[in-house]
Amino acid sequence: MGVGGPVGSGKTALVASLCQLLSAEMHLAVVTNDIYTTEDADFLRQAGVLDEERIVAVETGCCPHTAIRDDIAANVDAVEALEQRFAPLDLVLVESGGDNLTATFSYGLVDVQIFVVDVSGGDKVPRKGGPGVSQSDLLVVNKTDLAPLVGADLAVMAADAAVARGARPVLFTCLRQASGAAPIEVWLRQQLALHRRGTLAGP
Amino acid sequence: MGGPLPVLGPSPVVGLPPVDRPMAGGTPAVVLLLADGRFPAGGHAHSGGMEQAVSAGTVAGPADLQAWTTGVLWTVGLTAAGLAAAGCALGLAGGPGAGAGRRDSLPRWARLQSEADARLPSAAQRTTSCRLGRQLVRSAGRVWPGPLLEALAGAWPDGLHHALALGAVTAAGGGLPADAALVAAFTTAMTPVGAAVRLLGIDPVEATAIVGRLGPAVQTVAAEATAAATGPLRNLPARSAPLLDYLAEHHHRRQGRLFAS
Repeated sequence: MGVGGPVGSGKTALVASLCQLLSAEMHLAVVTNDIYTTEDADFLRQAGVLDEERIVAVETGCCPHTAIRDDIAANVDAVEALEQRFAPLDLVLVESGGDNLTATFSYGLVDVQIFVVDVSGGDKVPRKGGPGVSQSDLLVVNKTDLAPLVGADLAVMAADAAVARGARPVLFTCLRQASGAAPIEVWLRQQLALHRRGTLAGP
Repeated sequence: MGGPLPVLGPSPVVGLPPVDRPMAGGTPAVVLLLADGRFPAGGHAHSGGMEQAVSAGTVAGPADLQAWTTGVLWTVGLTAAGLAAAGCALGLAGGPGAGAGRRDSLPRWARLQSEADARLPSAAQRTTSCRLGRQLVRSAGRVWPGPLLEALAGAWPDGLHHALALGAVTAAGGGLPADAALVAAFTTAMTPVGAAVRLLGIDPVEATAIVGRLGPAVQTVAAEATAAATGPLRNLPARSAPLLDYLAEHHHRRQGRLFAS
């Protein structure tokens, strides 16, 4: 599963939360795509959410979006190496480097993808759109607790997201709070069940 | 847009030779695809030593970049082109595709792999080369599927050296040793230039002009490498660039980098 979105929106926090919520019952691994190689991987290792060796960082040569969309070779290589070493894996989370609203994952790399934005830049992000907002399988609008502080109207964001995404789901979260990732966990378990039945919708 | 459409003259195709006439210097598509930086085999994340060269202050602007690129072309570029040509020749040896993946060719591939090992004194460079080779064989094995790339992927799970993989893939795609050598030489020149554009903010047109000016040299290097690859393996070019090895080892150990090599 891909986890994408702009810098600071909460991707790494989400990956850490999902590892915490799922690692007791599933075999997990994580691949990070960072600007400076290992920043996010180091954070996840220090957070202790997963065995260190199950977290691998991929270099992206100044172009994190290229590494997850146009030329996924290094990511595929990393995922396959993890799958061989820790077989059987139930779920591999691939976190994108913080990039812009156009950066989405190739479905040659992931089966399903989440795009994480946050409210701290105001409520215009879903309206501005882009492939991440409009095409991701799940849009997460994070840091809802900051909405009153930055004058962001969550109802406006929800309405704009619905226009951009049609029936595709949107979840509003505050990942810093305990159990903030719970709604995303529910969605992810549904996707895993669909995947196991072979009925996960493709791109 | 607006404005009048340009008035077209007589169709330019009139007077072209019939399509069945052999085209002089006909270039198989595999060459164009492999030389295109967009070919999805992971090359975009590698700087060919440029990231460390920039950090060390060795390359700071277009003049340095031209000197650097010329240097790598005539040293490691020639070596890589020779290995690529030899790999392609071996890939073609059993006939086009059909018998090339036979198990009895694997000892000869192993010998070539050793020749490549011996030409890369930096352990970091050997690791990078094999990783790039593994990624190339994996991607190209889906673009040009067949027994050759399948056999090589199975026999070298950690990866053939990139130059050898380039040769094998060129063979699998219908190219010749000279084609593989040309792609290897061109890629050696283009990789650090592309990285320098991102790392230094050099005008991309000025940077590309460096490779444009090196065009004849790229062809000369490829031709020398192709000729050398027709002889015994010990005659394959073995030029090295010690500064590149040194920088690669430091790059491998540094904290915080943008490129994988």
